[in-house]
Amino acid sequence: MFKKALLTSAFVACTAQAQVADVPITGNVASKCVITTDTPGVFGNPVSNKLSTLPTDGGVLPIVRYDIIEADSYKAHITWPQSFTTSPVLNDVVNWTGDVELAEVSVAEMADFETNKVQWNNTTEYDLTIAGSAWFKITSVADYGFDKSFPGGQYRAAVIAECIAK
Amino acid sequence: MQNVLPQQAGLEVTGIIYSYRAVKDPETNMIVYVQNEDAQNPGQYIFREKDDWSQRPGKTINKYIPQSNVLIDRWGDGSIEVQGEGSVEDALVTYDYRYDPCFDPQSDPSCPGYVPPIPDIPEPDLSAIYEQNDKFIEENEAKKEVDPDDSDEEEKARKRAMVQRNKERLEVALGAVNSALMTAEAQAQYATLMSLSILPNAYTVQTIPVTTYEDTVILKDSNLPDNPKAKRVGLAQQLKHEQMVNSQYEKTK
Repeated sequence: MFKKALLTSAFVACTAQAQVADVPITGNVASKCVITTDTPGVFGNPVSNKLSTLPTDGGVLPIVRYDIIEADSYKAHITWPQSFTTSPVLNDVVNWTGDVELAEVSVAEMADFETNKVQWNNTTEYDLTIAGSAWFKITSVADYGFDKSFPGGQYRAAVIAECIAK
Repeated sequence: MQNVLPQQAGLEVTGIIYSYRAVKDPETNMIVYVQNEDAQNPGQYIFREKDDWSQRPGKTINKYIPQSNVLIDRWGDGSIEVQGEGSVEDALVTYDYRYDPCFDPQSDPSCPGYVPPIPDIPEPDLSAIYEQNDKFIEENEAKKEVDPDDSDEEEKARKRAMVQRNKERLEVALGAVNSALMTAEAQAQYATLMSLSILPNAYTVQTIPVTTYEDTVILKDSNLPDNPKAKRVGLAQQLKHEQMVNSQYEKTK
């Protein structure tokens, strides 16, 4: 009688072991905030010691577009440059100034982004509370030394645009 | 909208893209409507988009509004209406459209639902024929009225004679036409064939005299005896037959 019970329990254990399975779970996360360079910027050189993206200085303002697919889930951080990524050797200090402004919107209510923006250092933060597309234009001005002329060569700088999940 | 969209049947508007710059004080109220009247329902709009700039700074707006393939005949005059304080500058409205070439299935045989057209058959003008017919009837009636005393028999005989004469004339006329059409060779061949087709009366018309043929041989009833010679011949044949039948079995043995 005891033998029989032992066999039965062994069989049950075997059966339980055979039913174990690994069930895979896969998933893809697509960002609900897309950043696109709408217009690349161009430095104008109105005077020898100044490089500026302002149209009045002969430059082109860079424009970056944020496509916000999911409202109130992201914040935009846009940072204007404080150094050149490419330039000739510079022996003096470069004074950087800049600004970020909401230029165009796809929904009128997005105009509130500009009212509610927060700025610190060279970064501007926008709370993307409404779904749609928003265009931001960035102003960047570089002054070299104390009215010192920039040496000849190619100058490049970069604006950093980020989408940060809340 | 006639000077904006191509006036083509089957044209459908699939979307509207518009942009403008709202110029206003951020502390004032302003509502902008971009709209198109419904051409088939006066006083209503087929498209009306509202942008509320109240208590907001004015910005440039770029907007795309998809449309559910609305046919061109629904699109009335478009306008941008501003309510409140402020104005709209650099406005641009673009209509995204497509053309359905099979809107009218009859426009192209390759379109689904195309039905081959039935040609218009011109209806003959029968009035002239009817008039002629009426005239003929009137004339005949007039003739009848002219000869009211003619008896039926005479009238019938006259008609029969007239029909007969007409037939004869027609045959003569047709014969003349046929013979004129035939060539000399054909005429000769025709004459030959006709001569062959004529059979003498001797072949076709014969009278059989009515004659009775009586029996001439009369056999009297008598006793006819069997022929013994024939019996012998018959037996000999039977024997020969049996021999032949048996011979096949002998061979197999």
